[in-house]
Amino acid sequence: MAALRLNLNGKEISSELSKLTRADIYGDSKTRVLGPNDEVLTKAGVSENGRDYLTRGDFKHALAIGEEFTLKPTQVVNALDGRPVEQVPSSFAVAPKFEPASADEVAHLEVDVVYRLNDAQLEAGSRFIGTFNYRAGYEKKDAVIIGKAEGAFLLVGTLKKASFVGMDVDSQLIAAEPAEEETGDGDFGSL
Amino acid sequence: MYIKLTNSQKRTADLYLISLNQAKATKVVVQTADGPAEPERKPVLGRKPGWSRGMEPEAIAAALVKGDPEIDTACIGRPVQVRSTVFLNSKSQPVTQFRVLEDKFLPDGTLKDTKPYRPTEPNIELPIQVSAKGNQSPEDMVQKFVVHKIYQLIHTDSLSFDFIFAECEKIQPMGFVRLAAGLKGNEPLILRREGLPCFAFLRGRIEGETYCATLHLTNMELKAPVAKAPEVKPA
Repeated sequence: MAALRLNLNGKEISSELSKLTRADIYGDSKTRVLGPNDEVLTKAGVSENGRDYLTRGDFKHALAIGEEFTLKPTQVVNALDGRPVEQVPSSFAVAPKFEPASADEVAHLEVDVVYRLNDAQLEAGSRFIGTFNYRAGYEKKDAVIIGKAEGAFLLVGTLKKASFVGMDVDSQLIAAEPAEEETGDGDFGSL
Repeated sequence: MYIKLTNSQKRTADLYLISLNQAKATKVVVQTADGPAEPERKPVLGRKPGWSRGMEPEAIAAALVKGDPEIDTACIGRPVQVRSTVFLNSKSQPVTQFRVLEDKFLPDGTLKDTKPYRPTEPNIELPIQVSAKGNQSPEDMVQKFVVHKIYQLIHTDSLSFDFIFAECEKIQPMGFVRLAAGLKGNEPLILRREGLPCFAFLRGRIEGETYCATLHLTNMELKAPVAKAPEVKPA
């Protein structure tokens, strides 16, 4: 894998990446389906006519507008204003910038991929926040670099924003203020 | 989705469990006479299904050299929908009697054991208890664990508001508290059938009369894999 250049708070470092998964730490499990005589079976989809068994590679995806298929070129646009979106370059092409971050900021990263920064020497307990795109794409991916005694790690995912919730309106069925001033005993004549 | 949260006083409240996924910032469009339209991806047949059924690999290779038996212009491009799944044998015939085995592998790839596969069952319907052990400060949390999913907890009524607000007030100085699932309160959390068990941590913060409760799920520690011991060669 190509070396990645990173700008950590103004200091440029370079390191090779290696992907880290659960399987690398704890091992993995895989399922096998066996038929009579321990023959390994393959999974297939049954089409709507019930005759075709579709295995991997039997079907592709085509673009359709309504009921009609189209081969027209596609364009990626901003979902809100419809303007064309510029591609975000791969982080291997443009060195991503990372800034020091607090644990509170980093704690809201929902992680998709973890990489080890094999050649990076970072202080244990250090944290940096920025963006990282393995491949060029249309959306920036949030990323965090964590320094530990055993090495440095790059965590890529999405920073989640949870809002504070109040009890402004308890229930729309209950009026905020009583309509009229009442005595504590109640008006029995109105019953 | 709902969650039943039980605090250290064994009081339980129903809370909403809300995913924090946001709408995508971009979309794919195709220019049409009526302006830009968002196309839909539909599955179509890319080759004649089952054309090599019952054929030996040598016969398949010979057929491919001779012609294009996998291309049938009558069916290529036909929209298709998968209605159900089936297991096929080497002759592409459906098999109704089968068994599913699960092979477990060590981190170095060696097979550890093989057992009949049993899918994990969700335990989200049972009360999730705040554990007395395993509290983490935010600094420790980000150094130790890889959080793969974050949900927000929201009250369902005014009683559950008081409950979760009080819990957040208690949790705030600690940072994160560990949650335990299962009847005995000693199991990891499983949200759905066949889901991977994960450890859950609750973060609580308050600001004035408002609170922010987030559930952080993790199934992986942030650590380097154990290096394989070098093989000792006999002298």
